[in-house]
Amino acid sequence: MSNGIDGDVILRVDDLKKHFTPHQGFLQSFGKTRKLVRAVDGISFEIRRGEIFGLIGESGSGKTTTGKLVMKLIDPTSGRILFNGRDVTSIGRQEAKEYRRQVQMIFQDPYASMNPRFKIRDVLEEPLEIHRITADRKERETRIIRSLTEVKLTPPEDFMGRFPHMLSGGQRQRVATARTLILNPAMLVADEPVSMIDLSTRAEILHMMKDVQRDLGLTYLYITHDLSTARYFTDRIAVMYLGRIVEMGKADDIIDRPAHPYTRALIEAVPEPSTGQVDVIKELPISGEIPSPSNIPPGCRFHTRCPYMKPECKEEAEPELMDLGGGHYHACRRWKEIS
Amino acid sequence: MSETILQVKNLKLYYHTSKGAVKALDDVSFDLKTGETLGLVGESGCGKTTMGTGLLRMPSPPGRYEGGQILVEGRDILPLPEREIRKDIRWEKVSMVFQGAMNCLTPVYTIGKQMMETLQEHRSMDKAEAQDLIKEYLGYVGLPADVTSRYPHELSGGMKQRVVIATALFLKPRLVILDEPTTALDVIVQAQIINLLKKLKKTFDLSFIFITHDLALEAEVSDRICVMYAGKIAELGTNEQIYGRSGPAHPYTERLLAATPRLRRKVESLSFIPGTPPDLITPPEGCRFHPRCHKVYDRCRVEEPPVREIEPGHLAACWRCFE
Repeated sequence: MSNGIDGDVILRVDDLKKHFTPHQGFLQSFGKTRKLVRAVDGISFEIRRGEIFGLIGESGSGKTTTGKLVMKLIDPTSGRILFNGRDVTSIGRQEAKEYRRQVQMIFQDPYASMNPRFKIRDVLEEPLEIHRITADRKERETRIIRSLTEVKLTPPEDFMGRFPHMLSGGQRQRVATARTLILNPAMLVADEPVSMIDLSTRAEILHMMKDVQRDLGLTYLYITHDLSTARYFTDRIAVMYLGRIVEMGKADDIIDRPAHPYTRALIEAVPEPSTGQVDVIKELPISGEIPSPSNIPPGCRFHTRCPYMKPECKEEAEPELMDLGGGHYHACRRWKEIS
Repeated sequence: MSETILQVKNLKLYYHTSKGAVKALDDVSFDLKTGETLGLVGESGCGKTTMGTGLLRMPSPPGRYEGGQILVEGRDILPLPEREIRKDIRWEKVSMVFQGAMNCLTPVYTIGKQMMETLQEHRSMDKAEAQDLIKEYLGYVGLPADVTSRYPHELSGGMKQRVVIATALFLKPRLVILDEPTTALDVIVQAQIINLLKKLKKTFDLSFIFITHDLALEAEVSDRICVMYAGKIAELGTNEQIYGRSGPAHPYTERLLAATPRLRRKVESLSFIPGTPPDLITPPEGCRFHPRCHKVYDRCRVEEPPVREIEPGHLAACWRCFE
C-alpha cells in the first residue's frame, strides 16, 4: 500500500493487530468462551520522515492502543512494525530500550506525567540517567539547558529549580516535550498532548511543537479525537473506527472531501462558532454510539450506524482500503454511489 | 410566571485560603429571562464553575459569599436558611449537571437505585409511583426503561450523561445549570446530547445556564453569551453580537474566538493569547486583562473599566470599547 517509491519511510506498520483477553471470573469460566477485545484489528500505514501523521478516532477506536504498540509498551498479537526499514516487532530488551530512545512519547496529562517531588532539572535529567547518556555533570547541564531553550522555556536557568506545581499546564507540556528532546529522538508519539490545556494556550503549544519539529527534523505521530487541531497540525490523517483505518489521506483532502460516511459524520458533528444555530436541531447522519470492540459487527464494521447501509455491507467481507488517487484511501464499498 | 427567572446582582464570592482571599467572583451582575439559555465562557480559573455552584447556594469550601444578591424568581436566596433552600430552591427550582458527573455515579448501585435515592429524598411517594416517574424521565432522555437495573459500568459515556440529565430534571426545576455537560464525550455523542438538551428545554419550558470553555459549542446553544475573565464579566451580548459579522467588542473575546480552531476553514497559523490568567489573590491593577491585551493603553493599567452597555443589550468592560 501507499507509494513504495518513497524510500524515506521512518515507520511502517503492517497489518498490526492487538487483541486483549478480558479477565474472567471463576464462575464465568464455566460459561461460553470468552470474547476477545479486538482493540486494533489489522491496520497498516506508513509515516514518512519529517511528517506529522494524525491518528483520529473516538474513544474505543483503538488509537491509543496503536500508540502504545508503536511505542512498544505492549506487544502486538500479530503484524509487524518496521522502524527505518528494520523489523522491531520482536526485538530484545536492550534493543527495545534503544528504540524507545529514538521514539519518544508525550503523554496527555501534564499534571500526572511528572513526579511532583522532582525539580524540572531532575525531570529532565532522569532520561539521561536511564539511558546512561553521559555521566559528565557539565554535559548534562548543557543538554538540559539546550532542550529547555528548544521548547522556549527561557531563561532555562529560571525553570530548572522549579517544581512542576509551580508551572502552568502549558509550561508543563513544554517540559514534557523537553524531556523527550533531551534524548535526541527521531520520532515523537503525542497522545492528545493539548486536550487538557486551556483553549487560549493550546495553539501556543501546537506552535511550539511544530517549530521543534521543523527545527530538529522530527517526525510526529499525533493521536487525537479533535479534527480541528488535526487539520491545522498534521500533514496526513488516518481515521480509525473500531480498530480499523476507514480513511486515510492528506489532512485537507480528508476534511474538505471526506469519502467515508463515518468521516463525514465526524466532520458534521464538529461545532462551528457562527450565528443562527441556537434553534436548530442538528441533523446527524449517524445515530447511536460506537459498538464494543469485543462485539464487532460482521462485514463492514460501520454498517450498524451507517445511513447508506445495504445488505451487502453486512454480508460480504470487510472492505479493504481503496485508492482514490493522490494518496487518499477509504474503506467504503458504496463510495461511488454516495458521493 | 415572572419574566426574569434569575437575577444576579453584584455577587462576590471569595475562597479564603491561607495565602489570602481568592476573588473568584468579584462583583458580577447579570440576569436570565425565562426560557433563555445563557452561556458562561472563559478559561479555567475564570470563575465559571464557582458561578454554577454559587447559584445553587452551595459554594465549595472554603468559598464564602462576600456580598450581592441572587434572586430566583424575584426572591433573594442568599439570606435564606439552609432548610428553606433544600425545600424550595436547590434541585426544586434550580438544578445542576456537574462537570464530570457521569463519572460520579456510584459503581455498586444500579441506575434505578441511585435515581430513586434522589427522588425519595425530595418527594414522599410510594415505590411503584417513583419507579414509573423514573422510567418516564429515562424515556425523555432517550434511554430504555430497563436501564434502571443496570450498573454504571454497563453504560457508555453518552448513556451515563443522559442518566445524569434525567436525574437533574425529574424534580421539575425551572433553571438548569449545565457545567461542561459534553466535555468528556466524543464529538458525535456531544452533538446528540446537545440536540437532546435543546428538545428537553422546549418540552419542559426550561432556562439554561450553559458553562463551557468551548466558544464554538456555545455558539450552537446559547441565546446570550457571558464571557468571564479573572472573576469578572468581560463581555455579555447576544449570540449575534458575539459571533456575528461585526465581531465581539472586548479584546479578550476577540482573542479567545481567534484561538478557537475552526475545522471548516484552512488556517496557516492559529492564534493564541500569550501569558496565563492572573492570580486572583492579588489581581493586576487596572483592567485585569491588561497584561495580556493587544490593545492595552495607559488608562487600562491604572483604572479598572466598569461593565457598561455599549449598544442595547451588549455589555463590555473595556476602555477601548467606550471610546
